[in-house]
Amino acid sequence: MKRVILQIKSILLALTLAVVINPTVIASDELQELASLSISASVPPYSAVTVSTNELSFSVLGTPGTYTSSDIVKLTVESNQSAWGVYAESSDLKHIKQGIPPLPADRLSFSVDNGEFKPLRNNVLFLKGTADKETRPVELRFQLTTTWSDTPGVYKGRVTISFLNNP
Amino acid sequence: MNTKVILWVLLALPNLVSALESNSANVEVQADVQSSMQMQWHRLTLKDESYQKAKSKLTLDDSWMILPYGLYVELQTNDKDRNVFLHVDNLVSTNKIDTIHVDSIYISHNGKNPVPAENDLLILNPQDRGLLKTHVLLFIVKIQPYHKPGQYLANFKFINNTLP
Amino acid sequence: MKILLFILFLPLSAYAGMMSFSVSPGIVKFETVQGSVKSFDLNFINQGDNLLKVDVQVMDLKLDANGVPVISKMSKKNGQWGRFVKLDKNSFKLSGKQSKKINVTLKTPRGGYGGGYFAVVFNTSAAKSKNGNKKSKNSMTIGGQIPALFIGEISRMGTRKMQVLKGAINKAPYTEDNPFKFRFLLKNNGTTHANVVGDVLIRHNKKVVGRVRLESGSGLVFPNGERYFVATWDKFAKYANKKLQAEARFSYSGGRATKKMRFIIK
Repeated sequence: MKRVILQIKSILLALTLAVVINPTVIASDELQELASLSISASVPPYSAVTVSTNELSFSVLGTPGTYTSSDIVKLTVESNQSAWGVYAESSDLKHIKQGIPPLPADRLSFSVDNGEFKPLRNNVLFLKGTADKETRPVELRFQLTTTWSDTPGVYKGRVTISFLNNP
Repeated sequence: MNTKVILWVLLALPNLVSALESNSANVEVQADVQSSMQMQWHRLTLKDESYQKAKSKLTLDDSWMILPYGLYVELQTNDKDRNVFLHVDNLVSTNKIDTIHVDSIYISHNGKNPVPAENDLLILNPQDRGLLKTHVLLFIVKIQPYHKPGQYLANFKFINNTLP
Repeated sequence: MKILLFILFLPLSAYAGMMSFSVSPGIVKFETVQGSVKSFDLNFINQGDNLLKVDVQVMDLKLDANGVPVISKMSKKNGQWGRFVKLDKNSFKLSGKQSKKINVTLKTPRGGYGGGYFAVVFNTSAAKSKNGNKKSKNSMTIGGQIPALFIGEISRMGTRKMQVLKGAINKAPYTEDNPFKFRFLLKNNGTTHANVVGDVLIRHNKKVVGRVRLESGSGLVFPNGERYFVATWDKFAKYANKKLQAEARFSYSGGRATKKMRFIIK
């Protein structure tokens, strides 16, 4: 919204300058139509998703169970779209050594602003918004569940947070 | 003409900026899973069903004595390179004078025939990874003439090994 | 005349326990230089809920023929470096879900060459409560033990020399539970350890009729150590009562070893 306002102000400034530097303008009590200028302004769609950190780690030191990461991801969404949603999806966590089964994506779960933890499987919608409402940052916390059949070692994967415009 | 150029530039700029912004963000995840092993045990007495069940499978003559206490153990590990052995020490009398050497002690594992306790008994091997294994262990003494009656203390140890 | 042995354990109220622990890293492989000082950190983790008493000591390390570590009292034998090791702590108590760092310092011997091995062994037991009652003294104590294995060598000073001591096949009848197997025993006559891989070529009338991989876990053999390598051949039935030749071929960093043997499957 701020950018749109900035654009309109710039257009008005340009118009004002055009009027001021135009030598044909005569200071007069009578306004005469000298020229007309048609203006069309198209405001492009805008959206941005930013996260406070690109790294999330789990240190599973103890016996298998559910572990909460100490990393908190602060998510900020900015958009001028009429209606939108933010989705999260995780990949499987692959062991750094070949031949060892990965940790399936649904072992990861997340919570929004200290809410209930939900499993990260198949693009989970977790945040919705509209253009007329200002959004505030949200905090995402993550949990990983391990079992006795998970081989020890380092596993790596990715959580993708995506913005989608709802038509 | 100047105005139109300024206007065009002003209108085009926001589009250029939004082309550089992203609609998604990636968070790289790393999990460091440690090797883990858990063992739980409790003492078995003559009254316990699992003690009686294991004892019923043994056929021993009078030269053997099954101790009135056994062990029930549960073991589990996530480590494919780990195995666990049971180590038995000599029985030592409470006055610390007499000893029943480990070469007179035998272990019956889940009702099987007794094996010498001199060698550490393998109770969890790499093939058991992830599984919860249960064990009923009875201790049997091969009576020797020099063994003295009395009260004895037993010391057992679960030895973990990682295969290099 | 048999003497009736009467052994009593002290009567106890219900006795049960739980332990869960780990050490990280469990295996430390390293290279070093004569006369240098090397420092390592180990992390002992009490993964259970109960307070543990932990004693730490340095011991000798070797591998048996199945690759299982054998830990014994520290000695001055060649290749055993335990006597050059210092620990920053020998004993501690650790509450549940806590971990403790232990520093291990090795002063590599000046006259050393080849491989050096030792184990840092953690012996655990349930910590005694402050209000222990003498009457409830345990007649059965249960502890745990876990080692961190140190496998090192002085860079570029060791030699590896494998010798195949013997080869054999297992006895018939061959079933699903007792499949046909080759077994070879390899000895390391060198001064440092090596990881060995191998296979067996099976020939009939000089023609290769089979090739199977020899398995032995990581195939790690310490100097002066021996290790079994085993292979299963599932196409043996076709060659029953025929004269066959097996050639075991082993390779390791810096060398190869082979052994041939003739056999008949009955």
